[in-house]
Amino acid sequence: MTIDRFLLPQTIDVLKLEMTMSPIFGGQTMEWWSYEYTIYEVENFVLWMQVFFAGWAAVFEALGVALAAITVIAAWTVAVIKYGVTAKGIP
Amino acid sequence: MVFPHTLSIMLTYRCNFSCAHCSVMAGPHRREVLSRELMYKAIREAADIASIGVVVFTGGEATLYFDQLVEGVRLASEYGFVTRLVTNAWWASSIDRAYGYLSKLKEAGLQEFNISFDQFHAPFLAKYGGFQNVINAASAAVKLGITTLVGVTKLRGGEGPTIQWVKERLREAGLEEVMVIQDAPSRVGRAANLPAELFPDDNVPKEVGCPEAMATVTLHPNGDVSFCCGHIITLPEAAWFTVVGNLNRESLVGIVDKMRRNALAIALRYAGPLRILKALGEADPPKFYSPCEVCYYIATRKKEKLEQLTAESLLSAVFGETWRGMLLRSTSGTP
Repeated sequence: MTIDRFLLPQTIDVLKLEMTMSPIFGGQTMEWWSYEYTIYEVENFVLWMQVFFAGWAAVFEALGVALAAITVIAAWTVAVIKYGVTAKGIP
Repeated sequence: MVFPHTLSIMLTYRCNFSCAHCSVMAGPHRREVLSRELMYKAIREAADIASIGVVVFTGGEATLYFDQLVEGVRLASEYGFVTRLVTNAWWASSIDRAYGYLSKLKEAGLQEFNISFDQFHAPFLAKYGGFQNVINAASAAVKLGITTLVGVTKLRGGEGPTIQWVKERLREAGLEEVMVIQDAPSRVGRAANLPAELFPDDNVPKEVGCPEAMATVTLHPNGDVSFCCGHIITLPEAAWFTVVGNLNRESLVGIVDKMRRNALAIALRYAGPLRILKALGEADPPKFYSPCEVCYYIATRKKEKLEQLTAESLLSAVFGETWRGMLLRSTSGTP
């Protein structure tokens, strides 16, 4: 038996696969300390950093958007209730 | 793709030591040596694979074929690779001799240098000068500006020369800049005959990906290329599990392309051998001390089960169906 039987017709987007398996997304990837064996393997670490920061950047981006939306809604609500602002403008 | 980043060249399985923990089963009785032509071919073709940045010369004991080693290091350096040698330091019986050996390698372009030393290497090294050889080799390497590392095997209960012991001796010799790392042994190859009590629990496998899979491609003396540098790669009964191609018949670029499209390699890297074993329906696996032992177990005991799977069914068994949306359009594995 050779492992050629497991050949796929195309390559896989391994960054996406690693992100899916990452704890950030509810999976389990390699343990971070496994990178300490790879002192010369900076690229490995860079990949891990990319996955890590891309994940957290997405989380903070979502929080930022939510906060901005809440601020706009709150400001509009105050403007309408306190100052009587309508769609046509300030009375 | 950032993998593989290392080409490991097993110049020979021959070694002047026959350590009791050697999973490669190297020793004086072994005669396999890589031909110069295949070594040159591998290095030249590695230059066409953008992700490979490091070429490692190992074995067996690569310095037993010193002229070929120097030629390999020179060619790899000319192609711009970082070069590394893994050795047992038998040749460093005096500081002058160590300097003589290493200055030839430095002149050829050697940048990194790993010495293996532990309680298994120690009795064999004693014939050539003992731990003083490690000091001599490290001193010469530091003097020549070669990055140096000593690798120690960790055993349960801190038996034998520990990482602290080695660090202390190096500090006494004024070699603080030498790095020292420790690794738990794998209970495969000759190490399978050692008592289980010797093996620490540090490296007991978990259901996580294996960082060695796909990171290194290893060239063997017979031309086989495997997709990791793990402990089972030279064991005849299990070697098929990691062999992606043969350099006598294929190009290294073609072999690496196959590796990047190989579902087994992908599953090992991102899910790990234990999850594969689980996917193969193993309900009650034996106690393993390292991930390599799981690969050995699958390769020797679960071969028939594995044969029933295709690339797609293997990935689905391990990752569920999420992987299907991750296939890239390009049919080429080149970065």
